[in-house]
Formats: sequence, structure tokens, C-alpha cells
Amino acid sequence: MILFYMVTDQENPNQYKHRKITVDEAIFPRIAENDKVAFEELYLLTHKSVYSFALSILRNHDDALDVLQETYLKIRGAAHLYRPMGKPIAWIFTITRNLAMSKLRTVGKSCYLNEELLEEDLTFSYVTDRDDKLVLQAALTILELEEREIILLHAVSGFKHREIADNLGLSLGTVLSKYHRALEKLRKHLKDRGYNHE
Amino acid sequence: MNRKRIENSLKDAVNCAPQLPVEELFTMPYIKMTEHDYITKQIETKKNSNIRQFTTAVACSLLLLVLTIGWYIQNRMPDSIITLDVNPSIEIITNHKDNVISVNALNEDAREIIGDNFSAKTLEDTVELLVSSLVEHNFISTGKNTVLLTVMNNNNKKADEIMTRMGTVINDSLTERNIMPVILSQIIDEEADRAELAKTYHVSEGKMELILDMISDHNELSIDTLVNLSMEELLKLARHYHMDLSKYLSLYNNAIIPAQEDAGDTQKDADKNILEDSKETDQNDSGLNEDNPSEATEDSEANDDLKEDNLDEEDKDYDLFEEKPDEDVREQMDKELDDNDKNSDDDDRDNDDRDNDNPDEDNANDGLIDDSDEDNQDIDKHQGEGDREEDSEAEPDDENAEEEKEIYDNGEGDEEDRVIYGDGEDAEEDTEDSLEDND
Repeated sequence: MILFYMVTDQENPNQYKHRKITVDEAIFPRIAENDKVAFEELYLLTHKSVYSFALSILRNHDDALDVLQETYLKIRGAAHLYRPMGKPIAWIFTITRNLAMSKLRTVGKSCYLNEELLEEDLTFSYVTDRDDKLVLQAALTILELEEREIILLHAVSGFKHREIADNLGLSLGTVLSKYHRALEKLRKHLKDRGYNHE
Repeated sequence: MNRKRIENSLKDAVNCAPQLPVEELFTMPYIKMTEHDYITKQIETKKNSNIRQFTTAVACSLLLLVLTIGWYIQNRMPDSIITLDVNPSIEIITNHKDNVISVNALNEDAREIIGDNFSAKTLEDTVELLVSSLVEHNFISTGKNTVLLTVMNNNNKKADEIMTRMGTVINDSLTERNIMPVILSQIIDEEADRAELAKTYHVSEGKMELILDMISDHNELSIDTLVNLSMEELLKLARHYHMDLSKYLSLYNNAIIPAQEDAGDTQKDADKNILEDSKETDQNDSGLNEDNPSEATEDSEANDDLKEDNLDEEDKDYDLFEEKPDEDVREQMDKELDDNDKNSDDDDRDNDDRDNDNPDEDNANDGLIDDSDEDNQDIDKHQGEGDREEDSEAEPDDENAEEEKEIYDNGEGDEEDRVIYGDGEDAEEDTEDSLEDND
């Protein structure tokens, strides 16, 4: 089992090892000048984080993908207006949040009001691993908005709690408490479902 | 399921999601904005809120500082400095509410008085405790009863009020212990040079003021010779040099006399002690009594006019205080004078009579026998009606003698040779004196 796992993960041997995401504010003026390399550099560095953040708000893969696309188009359109404030990722997340909220208002709130409907949704059919799918669906179903945002950013992007607090405009104490509460909820939910993989 | 497993599952699930190719994204049209809209608007970072927190912290600190300064001004800023000098010199500093801020020992003896843990809130309590301690340590006793009270305050009215109050406290505290105090008091201003001197010699500014006053007219005296003397000794020295200490006696005259009048026999004993000391000092110092028996050295009447420059030697040996001498001493004086000069005795008797008649009068001139002294005229002003001291030696005496003789001859006098003048109440007393004199 372990050998199989290692084979499948050959392409990403450090899959679970997070790289610290650092964005240099000087990249925005280059993007404003239509520098493709700069744009690609920014995209590759941040798109997973932006997608997971959008997914935590919208709880729908397609909507999250739309917001992801609009986010980077907005960045290209406003890169020349960016004022260095020391937190470029926070600006990107702000754009993502505003677009996601706007989309929620447009299409209505998520219809996944209960677990049964979420389980029947095939949106997450691209997730090949059943356990992974179960955990993702549980996170998107039982957690509150900020809990989803925090746990997904921490899990996917590898942001530290302090970075999450800075990027989302929350206090460190709030981030820590919501994170641990979210984990407890998920543990309990998965245990109740008979999922005890350690 | 542990935390790490959960997070890994989430990460794997997200990573499985199809993503947009970046090349395709780059080719998509976009709108170049002229200004931020509500989506791209940059929010103030926590750095600005940090500035707000810093500003709030600074404002709170400033407020705390202002409150602290206000409290200090109200409670800890010195307003008055009161010093007590016996031989220990003690300094009391109070705030504008007359609450004691600190009590300081200015010399070694004073440290013994104050001790290690001296705490009293009000000025009255502090002075009372200090006086008690001075008595317990035998710095004040019946024979050593002189206290110098000094007050320093920019407000003269307040200084005067404090001086009066504290003088009363000291007097009451000591009279309860059957000690009749001699309280010298003064109000002084801040003076840097005197403060410097006082600090150098480890005395209070009040005592230094007195010492400077004493040496100002007497070159033979110096600070070094006087600084270690007790108040008792300084007072005796002042008397010896016939110094004008009237400015130090105002409190005593105003506040203490009523208490002393009530002291009765105790007061008389105290007076006797003072007078005896004075007598002893005079005898030891000058021997004037031996050389000039006509001098009224034993006159116990106080002289209100302490300016003695124009008085002869024999006139200078009188008590500084205004209390009436007790009868024993007066009799003794009369006897001595009678041996030396009959006229002088008559004058004394006359003066004594008037003292009895008018106890509140200035009786400074009893015993001032020297008829040749023109200044006796000034002293005469203080005497009662009918008692006019004249310049010439013979005339008033002759007149009085003649008057008496006339009375006797006419049989107007009673069997005890009653003296007509004066109040009837005192006639008996006068008569007794007359009888003694005539013996």
C-alpha cells in the first residue's frame, strides 16, 4: 500500500510538503505592462489557494472556477492601480471574496442545505479517492463559512494561522479557535460515518 | 481521523479539480480599469490599525501622566516646612492640605526622636508625637523647656495660622506633662544662602536664622560657637548679651499666656526656675550683683520693651517674660534692695503695688531704680496712674514719703499703715509689704 502510494505520488514527491507562498509586490507593475511571464508566475504561485478559497465560499466547483478566472482578469485590469501595502495575497483574496459574494447574490445561496443533496451532487466526481471526496464534502457541508475558508486555506495552501489571519483580515485568536473547532466537527462527523482511517 | 489525514484528504481533493490553463487565461480579454471598484478596492491593512492602537496607547499614557502629575501636585508637592528645634532639629514638610508628606531628622539627636517608622497623617498629630518623643528622650523637661518653632510658607497668612496652631499644640502637649514651655517662633522666607549654611552645619533654617540674628550685632560670636548649643543655651546667651528677642516671642505672648495663667502654682515654680537660672547666669557672667548692690538684679517683673541699649547695667537684669514674679521672690528682692537703697525699695514697692493693681499692665520698670536714667520716663508710661517715676532721685520719693507721713500724721491710715492709692483689694497686700519695708 505504501509502495503504491509512493508510485502514484512520483510526480509530486513533496505533495504534502507545503511551499511557502511569497508574492513580491513588484510583480504587479510587470503584469500591468502585459508581462506574460510575470502573470504566469503569479498564477502558478497562487491559483490553488484562490480556487480553494472560492470553493470554500461557493461550495461548487464550477462557480469556483468562474471566480478563479474572473479574479485573474481583474488582477490584470487593476494591476497598474495596485498600491504596495505589504500584503499582495490579501489583495488577491479580497478580489476573490468580492467576486464570490457577488456570484452568490446573483445565483442565490448554495442549494446544498443538507448532506443528502450534497452527496448526490456529482460536481465532485473529479475527486477519484472516495475518502478524499468524503472529507471534502463533509467540510463543505457541516462547516461554517469562516471555518471552511480557514481549514481549506490551511490544508491546501499551507498558510500559517497568522498568514491566514492577515490575508482574511481576522484576528489570530479567531483563526485558531475556528480552525480547531472545524477539525473537531469534521472528526466527529467522519467518526459518525464510520470513517476511522488514521 | 487525525488532523493531518483530514488536511491531506482536503488537499488531494482540491488538487484533483480541473484548472484553467494559464496560456488560455492570458489570452482572455480583460478591462483595464481607470480606478478601483468595489471588487478591487484595497482595504486598509492592520498596519494602519496598529497606528491607531499606538495612538490610543500614547493618549492613555498621556492621560495617566496628567493624572499622576495632578495627584502629585495635590498630595505630594511641598507647601509648608515646619521645623522644631530643641537641640534635636526636626523638619516637617506638609502639602497644601496640611497633611504631612515627610518628617526629616536634621541632626543625629533628631534621628533618635523620629525613629525608624514614624508615620502620622495630620500636622497636629505629628507635632504632638514629636513633642512626646522629645519629652520621653529627655530633650525637653522642666529645666530644658525652650522650643524654637519655625514656619516657611509663601503665603504669610497661612504661615501665621500654622504657627499659631502648632504653638498651641506644643504648649498644650507640654503643659499636660507639667512642663511650662518657652516657645520661640518665627516665620521665615526661603533664602538660598541660609539654606546652604543650615545644610552645612546640620541645623534647621530656623535655628540658623536665630544664630545669624544673634551674631549680627556681636562680632565675638560665630556660627561655629553657637551651632551646637541647645535652644536653652542659646536663650541664656541671648539674655546675657541682652539681645532683642521680641520678634520671637509674639506667639508666646498671644497664645501661651492664657494657658500659663491657668497653670497656677506650676507656673509660679517654672517662673522661679527661670528667674533663678537667670540670676545664676548673671552672677556667673558679670558679678554685677556684687559690685553694684543697688542694682535690681532680682526683679522678676518682665519688661515689654526689650531694647536695652539705653539702660544701665543694673536695669538689665530682668526676666524676659511678662509673668508676675511670685511673692517669695519679690520679697527677697525687696529685702535686698532695702539693704542697699531705701529709695529703691520704695520704688519697688510702688511698682509692685501697681502690678498688683493692674496685673496686665506692663510692669517692666519694677526695680529700675536708677533715677538718673532719663529713659525711666519711657518706663514710667507703663505704670499706673499715680505712679510717676521722676527723673530726680529725691523728689518722687520725698513726695511719697511725705504723703505717707501725712497720712500717718492725720491718722487717716489704718493701724496697718494702709496705703491709700491703689485698689482696695490690693490694699492688704500692699500693707503687708509696707510693714516689711518699715521693719
